[in-house]
Amino acid sequence: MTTALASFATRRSLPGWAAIVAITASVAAPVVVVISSILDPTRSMWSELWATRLPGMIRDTLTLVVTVVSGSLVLGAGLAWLVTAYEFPARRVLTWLLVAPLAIPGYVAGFVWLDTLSGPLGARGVRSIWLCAAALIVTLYPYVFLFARASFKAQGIDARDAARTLGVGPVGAFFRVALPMARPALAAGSALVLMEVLTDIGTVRLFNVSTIADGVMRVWFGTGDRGAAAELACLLVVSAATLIALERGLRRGARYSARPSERPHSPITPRIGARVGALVVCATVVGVAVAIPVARLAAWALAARRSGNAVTVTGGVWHHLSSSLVIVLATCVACMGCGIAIALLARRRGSIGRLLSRLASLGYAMPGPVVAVGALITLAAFDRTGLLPDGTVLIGSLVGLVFALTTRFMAVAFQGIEAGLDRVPQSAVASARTLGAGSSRVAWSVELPVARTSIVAATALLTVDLTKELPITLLLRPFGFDTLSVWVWQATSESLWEQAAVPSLVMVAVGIVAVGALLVALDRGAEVAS
Amino acid sequence: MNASVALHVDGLSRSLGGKRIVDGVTLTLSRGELLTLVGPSGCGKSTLLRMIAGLEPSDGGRVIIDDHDMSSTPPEQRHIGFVFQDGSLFGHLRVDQNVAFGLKHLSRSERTARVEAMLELVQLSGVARRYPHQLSGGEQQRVALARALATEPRLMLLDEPFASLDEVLREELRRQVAEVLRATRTPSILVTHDRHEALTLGDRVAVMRDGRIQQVDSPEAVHDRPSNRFVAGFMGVASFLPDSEGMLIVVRPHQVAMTPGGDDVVLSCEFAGATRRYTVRRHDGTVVVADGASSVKLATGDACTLQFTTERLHRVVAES
Repeated sequence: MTTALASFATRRSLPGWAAIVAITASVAAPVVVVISSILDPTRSMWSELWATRLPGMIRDTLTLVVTVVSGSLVLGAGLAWLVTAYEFPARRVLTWLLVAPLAIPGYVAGFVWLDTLSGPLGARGVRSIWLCAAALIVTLYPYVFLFARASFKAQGIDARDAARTLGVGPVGAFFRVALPMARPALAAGSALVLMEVLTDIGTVRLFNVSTIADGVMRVWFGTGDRGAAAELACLLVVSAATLIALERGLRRGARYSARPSERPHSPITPRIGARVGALVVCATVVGVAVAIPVARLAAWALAARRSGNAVTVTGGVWHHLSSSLVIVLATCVACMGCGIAIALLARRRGSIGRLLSRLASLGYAMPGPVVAVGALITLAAFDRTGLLPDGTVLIGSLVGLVFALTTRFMAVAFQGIEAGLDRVPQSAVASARTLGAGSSRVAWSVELPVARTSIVAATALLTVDLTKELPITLLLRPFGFDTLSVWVWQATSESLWEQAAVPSLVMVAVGIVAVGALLVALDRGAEVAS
Repeated sequence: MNASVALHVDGLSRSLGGKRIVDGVTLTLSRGELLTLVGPSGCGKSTLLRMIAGLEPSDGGRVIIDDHDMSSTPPEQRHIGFVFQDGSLFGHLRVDQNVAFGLKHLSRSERTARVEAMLELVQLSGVARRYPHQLSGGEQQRVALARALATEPRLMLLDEPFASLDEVLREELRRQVAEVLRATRTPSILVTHDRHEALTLGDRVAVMRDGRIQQVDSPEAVHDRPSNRFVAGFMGVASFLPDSEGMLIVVRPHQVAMTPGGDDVVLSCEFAGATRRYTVRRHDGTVVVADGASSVKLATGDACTLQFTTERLHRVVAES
């Protein structure tokens, strides 16, 4: 460490380094603030919570996490296997549509199903943790689906063929070879689902499920005590870290990244019955996860238009849409800019670069409300320093909001960029250097062009995530700065489904475009890699 | 059907994108026999092997294994062993678990015994509990062979199993694999693009080009008595001299003796260790490749005389 620091100090590009260290430190600060809050616990809050709501919160959170993660795994991996291993009618279109639920936030699917099922189930019966889990599963399984599909495609057909020549049929080959080999991908997808479930505040509130994240929001709005909210948020961090570490530990020495097969992956054409079966399964999922919600939203939006009370919030659709887009754009620029800088650095300078990249990715393991709390404490501390011009405060400013969002989503950008840069062969960099290109020209004309598809994919995923994002925006937005997601939140808290329909539809539309870009970029990237 | 026949391939064909990749191949493999299937890359030899295994569909023809027509049987029911070029070991399983993969039908103790015996056969007992990525390329291929042999297949198919290894390892592994296959008397087809490998390993050699089998014969026969000009050129260095009946005389470099002085002219000379390889323009204008002793050195432009040392040289039909 000392030698690394010494060599670090002697680098010529000290200003660049200083900037990057500053970025990393500020991005990591909110997380560190939250974690350190546990060192000085507010005993009165804990004893009161423990006596009242905490056991129930932990139980509900665990139930929801286990149900949603396993449900997403079954649905995501199963569907990914169907669309990669078998040829059936409309396979390509269905593959695209199966990712589309990513564009539908859980709280939107939640209120659609809440209303649809409250008839048969009754207003009380419908608000159950199981329906909440179902709403989350049908909106979150695409994370697993995307990772699993990429992994199954990369496995090629050699492993499957080897299994078959050893007397194992196609179904056996799935369970004994493809699935275990896809385990890191499945874990990565599940980790995203896990984070979304731990983070969710919109969907759980709809179904009256009191999770820890919900508790953080309640403590915050109920008492305004940032410290207490931060401590409660630590519970989320610990559970996320424990679950991810548990999976890592269970992997032991096995290595999964088999060499990509020379022979490209090609789906087999099964018997007619199996083809129809696959089509029906995929179409049903698309119907439940996409078609029905979108149809209901459209119906509500039309009804609201006819009755003339479409908009009761100030500003209308365009105001909200532009607010959402400003957030998406600013955060994408911040995330991609910092992400590219840190990723390029990590490639050039071994240990320090890697350390910085890990630090900057910390927010990834942090649920949204946690980051919001940490960012708020950090911003408040910064406001108190008096470094800013008189009268300027970061709390409640757009800069503050974008800062918090960057902290949370930096890892999404960073991982995409890193994956793209990993595809640049060392020999290409070496050739460019011997041809007289300096470090920055190598980055500009060799590394970034190769990583382009990954960067596009990461940006698309960021757009989807940011459009849906609720807790951070809700807690840190400037006064009067209402995004689409805030509109939906406000309307649904008062069960005004008709009024939530218009912003929901607009969000879904933005999301669908981004999901389309994501899929195209991912598939093109896979072609470049092979 | 003859009981000594392990595999009979009858008129097997496959087209892809309008091109006939495998074109009416007929082939017979006897019990305990090791056949090498050799040809330039893209000649369809790997596709043929995968069709025999059932991994690739066929447009026509039959695959008969041990007197059973298996043309439409899925690969998992054909009871064959297949060794891929590389990377087909299951990375999530240890070496012993890889070898045990096809042995689910056995009891636990039988399975353990079989795995131990197989790893001993390929001399890898020491690495049973390692993961594939901890082994060298040659070791990985031996595990793949043990895994395929463990199921006691009726037929073993090997698709360029040594192609991704370096020269020294390849020699060593080639010898070991041939020993194991002969020891277990497993009828086998080994696909290769390396003529040296085909000639040294095979009991018989099948030469393939553009989806068709050109010749199936003993290694000596395909080398010394090739059926056509392609086989002659592919299985060794050859010069072709037109004879009076419109045929081509096949001259191998060792079938020529060189003496200094005369009407023939040395065009080029390469040192090849024990011999020197010369390209010579004969007095009638034909060009012949000849091996000369290392001790005699002729330079480019030197005069020499060529003499054929074999009484009766092999002839092939002149083709376009």
